[in-house]
Amino acid sequence: MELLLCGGFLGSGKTTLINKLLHGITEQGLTVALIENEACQEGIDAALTGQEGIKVVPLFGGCVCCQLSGSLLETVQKLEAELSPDWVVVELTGLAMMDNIREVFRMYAPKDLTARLHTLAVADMARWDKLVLRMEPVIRRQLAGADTVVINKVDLQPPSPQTLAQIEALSPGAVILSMSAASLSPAEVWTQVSKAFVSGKECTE
Amino acid sequence: MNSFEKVQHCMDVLPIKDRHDIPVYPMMLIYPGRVAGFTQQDICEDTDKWLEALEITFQKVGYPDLCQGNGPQDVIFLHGLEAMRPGHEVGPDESFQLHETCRMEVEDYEDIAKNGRLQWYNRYLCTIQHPPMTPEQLGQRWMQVGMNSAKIGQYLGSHGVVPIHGSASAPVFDALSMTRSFQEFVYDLYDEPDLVKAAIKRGTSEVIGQVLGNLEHSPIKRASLFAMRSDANSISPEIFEEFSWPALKEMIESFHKAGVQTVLHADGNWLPMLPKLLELPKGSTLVELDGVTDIHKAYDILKGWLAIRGDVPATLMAFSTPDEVSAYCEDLIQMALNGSGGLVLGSGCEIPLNCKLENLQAMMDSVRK
Repeated sequence: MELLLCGGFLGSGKTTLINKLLHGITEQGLTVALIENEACQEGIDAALTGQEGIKVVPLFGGCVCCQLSGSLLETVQKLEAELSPDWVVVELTGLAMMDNIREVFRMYAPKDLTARLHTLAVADMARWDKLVLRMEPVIRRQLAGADTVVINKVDLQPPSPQTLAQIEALSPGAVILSMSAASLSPAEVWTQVSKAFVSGKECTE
Repeated sequence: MNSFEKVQHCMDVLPIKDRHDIPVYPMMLIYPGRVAGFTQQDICEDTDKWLEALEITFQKVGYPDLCQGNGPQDVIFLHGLEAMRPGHEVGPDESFQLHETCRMEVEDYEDIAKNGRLQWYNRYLCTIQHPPMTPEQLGQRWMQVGMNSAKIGQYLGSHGVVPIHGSASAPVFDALSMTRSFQEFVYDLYDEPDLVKAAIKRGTSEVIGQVLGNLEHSPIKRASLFAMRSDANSISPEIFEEFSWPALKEMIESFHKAGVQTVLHADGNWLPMLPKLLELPKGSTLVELDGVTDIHKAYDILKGWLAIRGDVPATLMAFSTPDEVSAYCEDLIQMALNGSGGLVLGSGCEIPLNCKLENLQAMMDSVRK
């Protein structure tokens, strides 16, 4: 079982990207479960629930985000034991701290699960300048723990060299992809993202 | 020292001679239900049931020095967000969830600045209840909160346990961030800064009056302020200094002048903000850290001036061994013993539902060796 944590700010196109990924995975004949963390943020996206071949599991992190990582690890381990899907995708809220969650997995998850952990952050190119000016702490926190960054909505606003440099600085060592997930097929999205996971692993090895 | 003396000694940031002088406070809102074998629905709908669960938990691990003054039934209400309740919107033994959506418009800042925040907030509170309440029903709900609080205070007092506060609120900055929703609120800080500031100013004076009014007849002269959106993971230090800090400082200084100490529940990373807290009067505030702020660095900054509570992490309580919990607590205890006191040994925010009882026991025992 491979595990993907997917973060990104509200409106970044994270849900669309996840939707494509889920279908891209199932089109490969693989099984996938989606864990949705809705505490402290905008709530379950009805568009993703109940779709054929995709098991959707809510994540209850309590009323406070300090409990999220522990609940997530427990939920992932339970899923692996009970369903053992090929992939588990976790949709994190826009306020979740990717780097903290990674640290909890590093400390408390079995080593083989940590080795199968992938982290992806979605950056909203259409609003990048506005977001980074106003929410730099949140953006920094989201990108810091990602080993893949998807610069999304590049059809609306292609990234400038300065923006690319900014993103590289905020997520050092991450594989950076540029796309417009909404206009790509699930297979195209999955191919790009899964290649990034492989090349990211090769780089770290 | 008894628990009351220990807590006061700690809040006054006086040196301590041994570990027994350190108050212990595992914040346990939802966990006692798991220990007692009650569902989350049981304890969230009935404060008596929560108190029963609390007593069962204390019988197993011992009585702490401090305990929260509200049960889950009222904490869900007091959060001021739409809630997904156990047995209703989530399973009967799942913890309650807060559902943040944008529930106010830009124009509401003007309304708050002009007519006050309380009138707006009470209207808002009516709309987010399940089912929505009339103003009369809301008034009755507030009375129920008061009665439950008195009942909890009586129970704790009979066991020598100190309620952490006599009244609680959120700083207006943080409350607006949640009712407006985080993203919209942060946009407003840039697009409509004067409107936001005016609403914070008017609302802050109301919160001060309300908290001090609540404490007039309370034996516990402490007020909790839940600052959940003022940390460096949510906003920059510059935004903190411009929007959040002036009102927070005004509140704490006003409480201090009235003889009330503040319990600042500081969620997230407060490290860049902590030097500002040195502008507060000495001993005015207990800063509650949730494990995200580096507690050793925080202690160094605030040492001898303000007390801190923290910060045994929820994940440590859930996944580690009693020895590891003991070692973590010992590190905090030595920090306070070798420093200048001013430590409440506490959980980093709340004890999680998946906490191992033996880990909680280890935490409680660490100050009782």
